[in-house]
Amino acid sequence: MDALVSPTPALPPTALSLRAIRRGFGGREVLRGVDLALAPGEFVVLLGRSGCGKTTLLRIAGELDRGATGDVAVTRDQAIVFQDARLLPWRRVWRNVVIGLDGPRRALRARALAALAEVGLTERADAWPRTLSGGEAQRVALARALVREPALLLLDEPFAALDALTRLRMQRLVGRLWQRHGLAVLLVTHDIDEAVLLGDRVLLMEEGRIALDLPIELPHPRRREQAECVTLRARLLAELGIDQDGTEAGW
Amino acid sequence: MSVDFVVYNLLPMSHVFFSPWVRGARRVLVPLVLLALWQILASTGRIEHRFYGSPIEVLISLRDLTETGDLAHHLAVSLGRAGFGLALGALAGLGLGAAAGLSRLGEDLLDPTLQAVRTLPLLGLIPLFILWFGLGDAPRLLLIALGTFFPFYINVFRGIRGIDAKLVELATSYRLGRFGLIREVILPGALAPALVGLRQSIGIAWLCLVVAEQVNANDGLGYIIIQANALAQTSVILTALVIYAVLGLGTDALVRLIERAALSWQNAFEGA
Repeated sequence: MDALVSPTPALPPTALSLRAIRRGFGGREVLRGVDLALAPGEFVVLLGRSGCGKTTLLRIAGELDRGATGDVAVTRDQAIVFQDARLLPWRRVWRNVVIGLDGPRRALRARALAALAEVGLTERADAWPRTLSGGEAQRVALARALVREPALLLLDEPFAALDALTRLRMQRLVGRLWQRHGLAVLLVTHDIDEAVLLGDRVLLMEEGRIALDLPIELPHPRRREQAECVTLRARLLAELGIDQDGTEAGW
Repeated sequence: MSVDFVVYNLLPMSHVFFSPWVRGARRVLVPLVLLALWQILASTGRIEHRFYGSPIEVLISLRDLTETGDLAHHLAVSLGRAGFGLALGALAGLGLGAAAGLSRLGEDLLDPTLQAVRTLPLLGLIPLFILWFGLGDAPRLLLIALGTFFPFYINVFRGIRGIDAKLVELATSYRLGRFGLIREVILPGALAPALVGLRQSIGIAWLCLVVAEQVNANDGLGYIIIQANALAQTSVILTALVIYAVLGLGTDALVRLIERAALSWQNAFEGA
């Protein structure tokens, strides 16, 4: 945008590449020049407080926000899981999973059941969405994304509305599914534990910029009480301006 | 110190002890009492049965009308008119409601005019309609069509606009396309309000029908009423009214049945 950049030789293939992204809402600049690239199969966590612009960035990656400036290159082969499950209340669970897919009914149902099996919900295939709990609905939303076998999975705080126990199980589930499917994941969250547990790389967002790009080279699956995880959590907390005992500079 | 505590039954009485039969009996209790009262007042001469009729007289005239075949004829004519007029109104209401609901352009072009037309007193248009469309069935059908149009238009429009924008965004994100969006999100989402529109429309269709058939008609239920009025046959007028009421109730029950089948995904509160 501001200067011509000569193309880098041997550019690695990316699932998502954002360059110099800016986005303002009514005079307030939410994103102030963000660069972000995801390699295929990479799990990147976008971490930040509410209002830091992380969800805005994910929506731009998901082609849901066309009001930004900058360069966006994203695979068409992507699927989003929103913070709310967004199931169509008038379609049964399995229908929701294969929404937008074409094919004979039996084949679609088979695909839906396979995806539901991955999230452990086969027996709810014929239920109405209203009868699901919050965690179940979110697992259906996950199955709906996975059934398309996307190269890129965009997760917009998908566990934020769940209770703490369900959240732990969902985090493990996402970790497993990511390892099994080998897709690139961009996870937006404000949960430091989640970031440390799941990310190959944690990007800390502050005031519309990426303030820290922290690779985490620990093998998966990780446990939150692992020493390395505890250290990383302390580091990220410090970066966010919070001491470990919870006191904070400022207010 | 006193301890307050509440003892309550987890299963309310009405669910434990009252079968559907009991509920059905409860529902017909008041109408039956009123009918019995009417018959007693008429039989004992407390009311002038030439003016007020009685349930038994209504039954007798119902039998007479059935035996001559008049009732079947007039009923068929009336049902045909109501059905055709309703179909016209419903089609136009669905079409224009969808046009206004789906696009801002459609709303700006259609809505102000239609809202203005809606404020016209419908039944006051009858003389004009006869003037414009002649003495045949056309003015009657158009009156019913116009009356039934608005509930459809308003409810479809409101239904479409009431659809959760997040579901529309989901449809975009999952690449449903324009057709898929309408089939998977808009139509099912607007169905419940559209069925409310249908129920209101059916009520209006019967209302318009009675009035329209009392002007210049020579068949139909409204004609029976006019003719009976001229001959001072109170019980025939009452019979025709009873038939209207039964038709109204019947069609309403039919739509409720459709609602139950089509909206089974809603686990709506159904009263304690």
